[in-house]
Amino acid sequence: MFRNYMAAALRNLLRNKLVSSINIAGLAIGFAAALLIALYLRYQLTYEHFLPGYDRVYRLSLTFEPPGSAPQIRDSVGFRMAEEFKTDYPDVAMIARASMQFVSVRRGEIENPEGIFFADPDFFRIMPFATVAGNLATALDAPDGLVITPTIARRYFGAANPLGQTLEVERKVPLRVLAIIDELPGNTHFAFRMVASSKNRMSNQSVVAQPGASDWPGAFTYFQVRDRAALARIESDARNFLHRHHPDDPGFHTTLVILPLDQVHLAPTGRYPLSPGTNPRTLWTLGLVGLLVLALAVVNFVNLTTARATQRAVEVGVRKSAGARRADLIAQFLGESCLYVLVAVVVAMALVELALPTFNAMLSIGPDDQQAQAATVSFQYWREPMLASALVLAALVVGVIAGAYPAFVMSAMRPITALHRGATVLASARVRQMLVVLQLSVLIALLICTAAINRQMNFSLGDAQRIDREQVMLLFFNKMPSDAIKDAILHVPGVAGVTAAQSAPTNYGNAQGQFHRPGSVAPVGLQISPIDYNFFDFYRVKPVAGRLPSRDHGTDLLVPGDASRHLSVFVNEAAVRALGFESPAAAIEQPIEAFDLPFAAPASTTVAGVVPDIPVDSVRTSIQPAMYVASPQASTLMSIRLAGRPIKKTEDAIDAVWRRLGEPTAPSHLFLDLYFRRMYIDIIQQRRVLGALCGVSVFLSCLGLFGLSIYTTQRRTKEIGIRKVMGASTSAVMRLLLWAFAKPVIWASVIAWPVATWLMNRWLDGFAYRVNLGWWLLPAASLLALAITLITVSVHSYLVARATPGGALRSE
Amino acid sequence: MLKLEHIQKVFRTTEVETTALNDVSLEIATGEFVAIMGPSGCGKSTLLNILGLLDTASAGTYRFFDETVSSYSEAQLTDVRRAAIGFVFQSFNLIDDLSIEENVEVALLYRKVPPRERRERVAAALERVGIAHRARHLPQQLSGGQQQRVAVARALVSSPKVILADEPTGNLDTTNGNAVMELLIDVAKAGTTVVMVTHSLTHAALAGRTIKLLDGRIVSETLLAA
Repeated sequence: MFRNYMAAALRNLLRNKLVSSINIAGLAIGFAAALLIALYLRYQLTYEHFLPGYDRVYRLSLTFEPPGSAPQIRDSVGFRMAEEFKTDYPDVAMIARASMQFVSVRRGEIENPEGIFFADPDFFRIMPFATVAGNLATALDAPDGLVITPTIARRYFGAANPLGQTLEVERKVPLRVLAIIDELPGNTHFAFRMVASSKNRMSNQSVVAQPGASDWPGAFTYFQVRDRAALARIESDARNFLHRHHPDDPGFHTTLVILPLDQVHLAPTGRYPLSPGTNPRTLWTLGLVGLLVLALAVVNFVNLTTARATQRAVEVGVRKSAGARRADLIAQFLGESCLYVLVAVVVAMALVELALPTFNAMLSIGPDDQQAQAATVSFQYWREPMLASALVLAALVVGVIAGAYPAFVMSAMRPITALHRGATVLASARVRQMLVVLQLSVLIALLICTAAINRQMNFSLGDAQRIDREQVMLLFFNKMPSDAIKDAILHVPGVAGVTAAQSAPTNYGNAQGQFHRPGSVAPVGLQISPIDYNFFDFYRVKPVAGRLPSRDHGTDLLVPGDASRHLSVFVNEAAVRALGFESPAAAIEQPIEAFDLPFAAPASTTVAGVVPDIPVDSVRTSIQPAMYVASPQASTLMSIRLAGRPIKKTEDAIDAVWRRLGEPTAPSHLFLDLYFRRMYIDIIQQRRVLGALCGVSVFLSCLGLFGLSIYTTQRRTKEIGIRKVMGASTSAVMRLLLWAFAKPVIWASVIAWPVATWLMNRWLDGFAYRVNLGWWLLPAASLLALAITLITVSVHSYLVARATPGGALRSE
Repeated sequence: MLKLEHIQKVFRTTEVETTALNDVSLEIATGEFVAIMGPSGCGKSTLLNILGLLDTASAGTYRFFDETVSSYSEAQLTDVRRAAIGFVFQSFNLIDDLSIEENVEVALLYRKVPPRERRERVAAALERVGIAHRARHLPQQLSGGQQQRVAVARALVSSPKVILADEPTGNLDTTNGNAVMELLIDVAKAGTTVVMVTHSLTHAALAGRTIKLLDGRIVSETLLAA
């Protein structure tokens, strides 16, 4: 019996080659897209799972609530907190601090700027990364211990064995390679390639441990608990812990946050994170869009399978008159559609295998990034029984849905009804009409969602940034750059401008002060950003009110330690609001009083200019009230704008200037664009993935509609013949056929508009700075769907409409 | 024996009620070859469908051999059909996607006949209707006459007690029509009850008895000498 069923199924498949391939290919593409999204979500949700015992490891972080502004998260804590934490909580088995330091690393002639992660000896005992060579557990016990990845090994040692070999840091401190670990996978929040012992005198840990040294929150602190139940005890005492060791600064409120290691990446990231986090809401949105694409493919498949089933009414009739029970036919049709779906799944798996390298490249920052590891989304179904079972289960579910019409509806027909084709065609036509509306609703909703998400992402990466970051290179200095080097760089051919600041234009630096307007008692915490005079001009930021810093105004210059001077400052719009000014213009020339500054407060301070809010760290968090002060001497990060010459040549010329006039280490520079891509990699990834998904969904819709148009025109061949005999022109018949597909677009819009609007407004609410959805997106999406539909079905409709009426009638 | 008593069949749509069969009573003896004639729309095919358990009557009693089947459920009807009835349709109703031998095999599939026996019986049936040489072909590769012979083979292969043929020669030319009639006569001679709907007086004359229908009623019965 099985052979007979198989023969009928396969020959039916081959007889309708075009539609069969459209049907299976469409489902396979839908499955492949959904599978890629599922793999991406799994990748995102399994950060750090490669580390044995990750579920007993936690990270400490802090939330500050400065007066008058939104809470700030800090991924790192004070260096001394680890010892206090370990002493207070015996349940903590091990605790380790780590701190990223950017230094120059040299071996012979090879010298590069590198980030070294200085970590306490227990770091690798808490988190045993996969080791290639050496003894990782003890590697950081020695003060000169160094652990590297194969990339660093190749960079400095070529093919030679690096174990026991030395690398020189800042041209003075030797570090010995004691272990080599595997390259880090993409789904870890760690981003290091060199880990050195915190016992080394260069480490921040050692510097803070010096007598009299002040502590600062720069230690990424990880601890392992003896058992997971202990965590509740620790968490319940966390508030007391801070009170015991770090009583609140006046006006500040600080909270200790304990995050499970695998949740670090999904929690809101703080200032200077090790790597950008991911907003879980965006992940769910992607998951939903992936499901929609799968739904689209499934609806297509069900629709075409149902359409094809009507051609097999005679078979149902014959089998039933030969004594087939309903159960026999249910088994036959369900088995058949499950078989097709399984074929589609196999094709989808092959597609995923083929697409994975491109997909991983799409998720990575780019080949120009030397620091972050590439994405490593993988698909190892043969090693993952859960994944394989999920795929088979999905295939069965889709198979049952797709086979439902012939299996449950047609099989229930009396044999004589089935033999009389008309009834089945009519009944299935209604089902298919509904499915077409559903399919178009999904398409329209997807178009709206993709457009809205794209608008927000363009805004986040474009207008919201408020600065011109084209062709800007950041050059890092350890101390204030001299006027000579600034001048020399400015005169390098291909350099259009130079400015400096204490931190990148998207960071404030660490300084923060408290201010209030005269007469007001409520203090406002302002981030303080030292900048060069031309900082705003360089980044093409226009003042909202007042003026920009200038050498012509003597009071613009901050002279630390001089409390007798008057200081003109520049604030952002958030600060204007926080300080309670009615408008930016109202703040100009107004005095503000400072206290609790990291430097001696000036005799008086007035606002000279207001600049727009420049997003800091990410557009997802609200912009803090900030104050900019002209302080070229504190500006150790130089921004260089390149123009009109091959970048490599200019870069080499700048390096030559550095070697002549700069610091005695390798120059460390980074393109601002790459810096941005690192900061917004999650948004960039999601935009790329969504764009691809949208493309896939449009393609799937076209496939589905094309396949369906073949069936519809086949079904209406007789009608078309009669109409043509009665004198209908080709265009009149075309109109008739196209209208049949245009009508569902209207119904689909009615369903898609409210759903997509609700969904997107919720998604946009996740951003501190968001675009409006734009009401015009709704009709635009419907019009696009209509255009896609009409273009797709018009080809086949035209061929049918211009056929001779005799032929049309005869074929019926 | 097939026995219909006061059979009525009414088709209802939302607005129209059509009586296809009105108080039809009829007995067909085992091994009899009966032809049903009448103008289009007189209820011939409806009568045949009820006799073949493809449709149920609105009223009346139908005894199929010793069973009163008029009150049977669809599943029970399926069982009776599977065990005892073979069909030949005017439009052949072969499954396009199956080869000739696979089409014939369909009649045995649901009777739990072992595969080997199935193959032997299918070969024998095709031999009997003279189409064995086209066993591997698909229906659309055969002429109408050949297709109808396949349909007869399919009806025969399960050795049913009754064969019901709905205008089996309606789509065939004279030569092919005669060939199919010869097959049916042979079947009837072998003891199988055959009921055939036909428009052809010539072919009806080959049956043992002719029943004429008009407007859903039996208007005459002609018994021909055997």
